[in-house]
Amino acid sequence: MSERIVIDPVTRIEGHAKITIQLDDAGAVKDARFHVVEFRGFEKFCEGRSFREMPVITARICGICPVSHLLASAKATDALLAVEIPDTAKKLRKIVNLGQLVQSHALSFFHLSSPDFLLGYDAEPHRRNVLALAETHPEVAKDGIRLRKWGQEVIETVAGKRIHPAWATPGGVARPLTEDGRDKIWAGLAEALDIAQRTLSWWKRVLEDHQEEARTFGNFPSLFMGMVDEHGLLDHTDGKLRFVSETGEIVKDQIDPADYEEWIGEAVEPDSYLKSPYFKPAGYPGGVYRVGPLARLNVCTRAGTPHADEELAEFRQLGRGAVLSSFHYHYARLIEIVYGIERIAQLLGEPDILSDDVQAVAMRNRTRGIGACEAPRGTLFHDYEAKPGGILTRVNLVIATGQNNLAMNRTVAQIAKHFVNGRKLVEGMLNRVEAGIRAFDPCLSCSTHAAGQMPLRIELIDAAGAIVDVAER
Amino acid sequence: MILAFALGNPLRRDDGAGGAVARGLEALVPDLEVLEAAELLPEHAEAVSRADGVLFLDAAAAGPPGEVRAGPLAPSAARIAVLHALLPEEVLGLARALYGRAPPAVLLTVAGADFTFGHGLSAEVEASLPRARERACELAAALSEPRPRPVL
Repeated sequence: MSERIVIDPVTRIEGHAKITIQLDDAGAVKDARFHVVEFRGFEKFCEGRSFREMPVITARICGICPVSHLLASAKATDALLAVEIPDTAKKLRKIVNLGQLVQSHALSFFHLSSPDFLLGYDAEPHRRNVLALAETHPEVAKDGIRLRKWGQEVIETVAGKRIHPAWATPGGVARPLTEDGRDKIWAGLAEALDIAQRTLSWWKRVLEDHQEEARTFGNFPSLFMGMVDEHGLLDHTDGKLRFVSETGEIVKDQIDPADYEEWIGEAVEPDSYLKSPYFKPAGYPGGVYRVGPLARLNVCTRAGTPHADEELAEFRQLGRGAVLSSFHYHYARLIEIVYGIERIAQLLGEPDILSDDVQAVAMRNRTRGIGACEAPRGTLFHDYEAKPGGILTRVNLVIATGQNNLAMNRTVAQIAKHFVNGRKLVEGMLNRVEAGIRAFDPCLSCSTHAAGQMPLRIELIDAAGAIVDVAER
Repeated sequence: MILAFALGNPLRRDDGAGGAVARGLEALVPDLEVLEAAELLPEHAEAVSRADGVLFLDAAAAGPPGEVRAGPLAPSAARIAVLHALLPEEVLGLARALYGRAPPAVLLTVAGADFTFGHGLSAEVEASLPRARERACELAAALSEPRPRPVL
C-alpha cells in the first residue's frame, strides 16, 4: 500500500507552503513535491492602474524585499518613459539594493537557518528559532540583529524608510543622498564587515559538520542564472543575464533582461500556485535553472570587491565547475553579504554620489517596459504593457522563488529519499526536508504575489486517501 | 531617554491609532524618541535595551471603541518560531536575554472601531486622542523618574 506524508505548512520561510512525500509499497520515498498554497494575484489587480503608481504598489508585495520590487518596477517604468536615468540615481539604487541584500541575507542566515546549524536538526521544534539562540548563542543572535539592522539603516538613510520606501520613481529617485546620510552609512561599515567576515570564518569551520547535508540538499546538475556586468562582475541592479552550466561553462551571456521571454518559459503545475519557469532552449521540465546567491556566485567571473573575491576563490574549491549543492546557498549568502558591504563602500566613495541630479523627467514614450534586478533570492522581472495614457493593460512578474521551483522540488525529493523512512516519522528527518527548502530562502509572499504564522502539519495518507497518522506543531 | 513605539498600520484605519497618539509627543515630553513600526521585530531589542523606559502605543481590537487603557509590561520568553510581529513583552525579553537589560515598560492602547483598508481614524478613536496623548505624557513622565514606576 503506497502512502503519502504531508508537511503542511513548511516553517521558517516567508509564506505558506506544504510538502508532500509519496511513499511506495515498501515505505520508501518514491517522490516528493513542494506545493505553494497561497495566492495573491498582484498581476491581475495592477491592471487598470497608472504605471507611475507601480513602484509603490508592487513594493507592497513583500515586507522582506520591498526594495527589489521597487527597483524592478522603477526600471520597468524607466523603460516605459524610454529614459536613461542619471548616473547618481543608478548608484543610489545600487546602494539601496545592496543594503537590502545584506539585511535579507542576514535574516535568512541568522534568524531562519542558523537555529538548524547551532541547535541541530533534531532539536525540539519550539527551540529552533533565533529567540532561543538569544539564550544559547547570544553573540550569534546579536551579530544577526546588528547586521540586519545595518542593512535596514542603509535603506532608511538613502530611501527614507526601511520598509516600503516610495523613493525609486519612474526616471530615477525622489531625493539625493545627503552628506550626513553618507557619513552615517560609513560609520557602520567597519562593524558590519567585521561581523560578516567573523560569521564567514565560523561557517567555514563548521561546514565540516554538515557534509551529509551538503551532499544531499539539492546537490544535482542544473543551469544557473544571474546578472553580471559587461566584465562578468556581479551587478545586482543593472547587469545583463548570464546562464552557466553545471561545468561552469557559459551557456548564454549578456542577455538583455528585456528579452527574458526569449529564454525563459513559465510552466504551470496543477498542484501549486507557484509557476515553474524554465530555460526555454532546454524545454520543460528539463530546463531547470537556479537563481539567487549560489547561482550568482556560479555565473560571475569575479565578484569585484577584494574580500569577496578572496572568499569566492575559496568557495569555488567546493565544485568542479559550478558549485552544485543547494546547501551552499548559505555559504554563498555570507559571501554576498561581504560583497554587498564592500560594494556599498565603493559606491559611497564615488565623486558624484551626493549629486542632486537624480531624476530624468519624461512622458510615457513606449507601450511596453521591462525592468529587472537581482533580488536577494534571485533575478526579478517586472513586465508592463500600457495604453497611451499610461494605464496598464498587462502585468507579468517573474519572481526569483518561482525560478527555483523546479530545483526546490528536486531538492525535496533528494532529501526525502536520503533522510525519510516512511515507516517511522521522526521530527529531525522532516526538518531536514524543510531545511532543504529553507536553503533557497524562498519568499512565497513574493512569488505568488502572503505572510503569516506557520504551524507544521504532517499527514500520513494511504493510497486510498485515508489519514493514517497526523503530527502537528 | 524614553522610547515610544508607535505601532500599527495607518492604512488599516484605526490600526494607526498608536501613530496618531505619538504625533507631537516628542514636543510634549522631554527626551522622548518616537519609533514608528508596523510590527515589532528582533532588531528592536537593541534600542529597547538602551532606553530608560519604553512606551508601546498601539490600537486594541477589543473594548469599547475609543477606550484608552494602560498597563505595565513584564519581559517574557518568545512564542514558538514567530519572527514577525513579536509581542512587546517578547521584545523586552529579548532585550534582557541579549543585552542584559529590559527597562520598565508600559503598553497604552486605544480600542478601535474600524480596521478596514483606508486612511483616517473612526470618530470614536479620533475623539479619544487628546485623552490618550495626555495619558501617554503621564506615563512617559513616570517612566522618566529616577526610580521609574508608571502611574497606572
